[in-house]
Amino acid sequence: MHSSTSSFERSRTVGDWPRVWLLAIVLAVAVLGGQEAAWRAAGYWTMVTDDRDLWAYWRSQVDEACEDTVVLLGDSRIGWGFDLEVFREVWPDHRLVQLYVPAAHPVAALRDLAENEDFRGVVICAIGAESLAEEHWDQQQPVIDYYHSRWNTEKLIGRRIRTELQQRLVILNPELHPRQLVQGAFGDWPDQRVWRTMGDRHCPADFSIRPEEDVNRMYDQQYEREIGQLEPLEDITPDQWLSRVQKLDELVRRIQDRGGQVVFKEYITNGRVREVRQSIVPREEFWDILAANTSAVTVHFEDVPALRDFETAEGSHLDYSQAGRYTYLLGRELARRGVLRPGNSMAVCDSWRCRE
Amino acid sequence: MLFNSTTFLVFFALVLALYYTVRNWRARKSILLASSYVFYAAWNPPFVLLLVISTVVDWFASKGIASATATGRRRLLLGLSMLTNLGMLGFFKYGDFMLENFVRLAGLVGVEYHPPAWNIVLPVGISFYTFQTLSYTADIYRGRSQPWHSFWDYALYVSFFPQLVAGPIVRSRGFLPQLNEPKRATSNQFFWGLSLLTLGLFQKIVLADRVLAPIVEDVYGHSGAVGFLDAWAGTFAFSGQIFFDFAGYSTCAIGVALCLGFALPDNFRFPYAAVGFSDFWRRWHISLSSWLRDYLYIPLGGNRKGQNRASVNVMITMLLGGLWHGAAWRFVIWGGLHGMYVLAERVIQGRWKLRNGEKRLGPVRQFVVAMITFLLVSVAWVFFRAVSMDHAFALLGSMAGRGGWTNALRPDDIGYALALTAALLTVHWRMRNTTLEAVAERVPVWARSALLAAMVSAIITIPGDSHAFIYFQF
Repeated sequence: MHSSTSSFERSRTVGDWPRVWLLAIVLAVAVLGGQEAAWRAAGYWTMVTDDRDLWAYWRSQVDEACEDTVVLLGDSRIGWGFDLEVFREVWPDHRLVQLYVPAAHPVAALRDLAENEDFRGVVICAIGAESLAEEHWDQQQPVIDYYHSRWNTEKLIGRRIRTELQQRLVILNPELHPRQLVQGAFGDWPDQRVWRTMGDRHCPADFSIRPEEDVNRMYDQQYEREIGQLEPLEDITPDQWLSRVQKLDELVRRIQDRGGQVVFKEYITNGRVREVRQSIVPREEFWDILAANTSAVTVHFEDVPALRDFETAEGSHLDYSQAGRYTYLLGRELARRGVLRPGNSMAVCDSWRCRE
Repeated sequence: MLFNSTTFLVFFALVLALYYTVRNWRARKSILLASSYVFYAAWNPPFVLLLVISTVVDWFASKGIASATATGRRRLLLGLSMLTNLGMLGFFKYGDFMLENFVRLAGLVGVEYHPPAWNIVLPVGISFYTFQTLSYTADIYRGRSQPWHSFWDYALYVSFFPQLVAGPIVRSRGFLPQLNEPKRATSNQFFWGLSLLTLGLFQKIVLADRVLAPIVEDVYGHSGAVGFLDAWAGTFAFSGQIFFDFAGYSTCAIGVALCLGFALPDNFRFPYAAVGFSDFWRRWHISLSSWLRDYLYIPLGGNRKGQNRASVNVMITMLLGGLWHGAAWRFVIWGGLHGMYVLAERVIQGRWKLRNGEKRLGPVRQFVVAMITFLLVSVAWVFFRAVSMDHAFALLGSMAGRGGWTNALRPDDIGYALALTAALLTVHWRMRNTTLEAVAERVPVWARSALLAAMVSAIITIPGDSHAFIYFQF
């Protein structure tokens, strides 16, 4: 049999492979260490790859039977705008799981929890009227299917190891490429994304790292995206809207019947984005009908004085410098309405991020 | 479990530690057997049962064949083995395909049939281990080997984790004797094995997934017709991607086995340097092509029954070889194209011999034939990569110039694809008559170290999505 071993054995006298590997390890450590130091010196941060495995890992951490479990659903707006550290500090008795999916509306994830007969925790679900558009109903389904059909122990172990390493090493930041380091040496450093994903899917966004014109461009893009997202609702009749709301409420009731709770919170928006939303999906014709016809707790930021004045960076995403305070105030409102336990006082939350 | 997963590295480290800590050879083999089952179960535990069925049925069938004197009984037991293995393969791999074609056929004769969706999940590696167990039983039936004395050794042969899910397809005569003597890799073997694992991972993770796959995806995932340059660049990129993907897996498998002290057969020998298609199939997926030759082509009569029958046998072998790669007509067409290539080559070779006797091609002509071979192999890959027959024909239309020059790729991507293809062809051509080991050992220590360090660094730091090996789907 011609094989690597047999052919290897024919010439084993000129191997030297242990020495080759010893030197290779030294070289690799030097190269990787040098890259790590260079990225750090240039101000780059660690970032965990936010893939299906990370979502599935956190989905597997939902303790269905525990009433103190709080699950966050929504798109990037709750991903970037909810400070997990602050929440844990103020409400340490609640077990928090972040299950947002970027650029996807959360109804499928709510349905997944509703269909789980054991789930009796609290769902905080960030939605807008467009989340109920038929086209958007199943946007998160692929990741849910992945969790139920392909997630297993092997993937769990691999994901845990990668998460631990990615939290510690900048060279494992999925946004960075060694080629960019060479370009950086000639003064052409790559732009960092405004957000960074942590191992617990905490996703603080720092818009201050980008020049104003970049943020303005993001604002324009967000405005266009908003119009595109709202398009399916332009011709919807009041009866059709009510029927969607009732369909959504069936999911809410299934969770409530088991002792769980559901909160719908409207996205915070400002400026042009808010104006276009109000013109296409006027609050009184959409959100108010939803609030009046659902058994879920509803929180519209305009109705809570403390939440009313938050300014987003590009019309709809909170910067990390505001997310802590917003999380604290939203949590306090939910505690006031009996959804969350009273929690620690603000004095305990000594992070500057949640000071009023 | 994938070789390119973090979990595998932990698993392999644990297996190595256990394997080399224990002294008793039987205990070490048991560790390998248990590890192999854990490796397989990590993907989908219930499918371990299929592996067990294939192992047990062939063990008893082959024992029965060896002890039976009556031809009828021997045939019956061989039939049982074939029915079990090909039955499992047929149901899990071709069930949906057969149903789909049955519905179409019924529709043609005016019968509307709407069966419920089967949604059959294809067990990873089933095409590989069923072929291994079949070859074991067939060899005993034909008197080429005797039943092995230890069931546990045989079970390890079927399930040996380095080659379990994507080959190389190992013959029992090459593997089982290795279990007689305690295996312990020498330090040179161990570190050469690690080097092969690193090279394989580099081929898969960096070259196939991160460099070539995005270019291929831009062309083959493009909505609408692509341009002439896009179609050729995308197809050449796929020729590279599938080579690095599959050869990468085989290299990993050989390296991992070598770290444990075992030899696996080579599966690729610089196939894009092939001078003609018969040569291509002696260099590409060698363990499959030799399996098809020994257990299909030759039993069909090979070239012993005249030229016409030999041509039919080539086509049957190639068509079934194509179907082995996937349950779709595209794969059958791919196999059929290769069958036609081989037959055309035989005709041309015959005419050459008539005119020139035994005179061989000169180096320049050899190179030209090798380039033509690569070009035609790449054209056939279109059927392999396209998502449907219509898609494949649209791509071929673009390659024939029916879609402008370029609209799907950026000029630098076209440049990358062509440059990488040229580099791949150059390396294959220069190394076509040698082995990786021989070349590696001529390189100075410092250069080998630098190369390995560069590959390790690239594997760790070049970002990209994790893709399953393409050959896993077979």
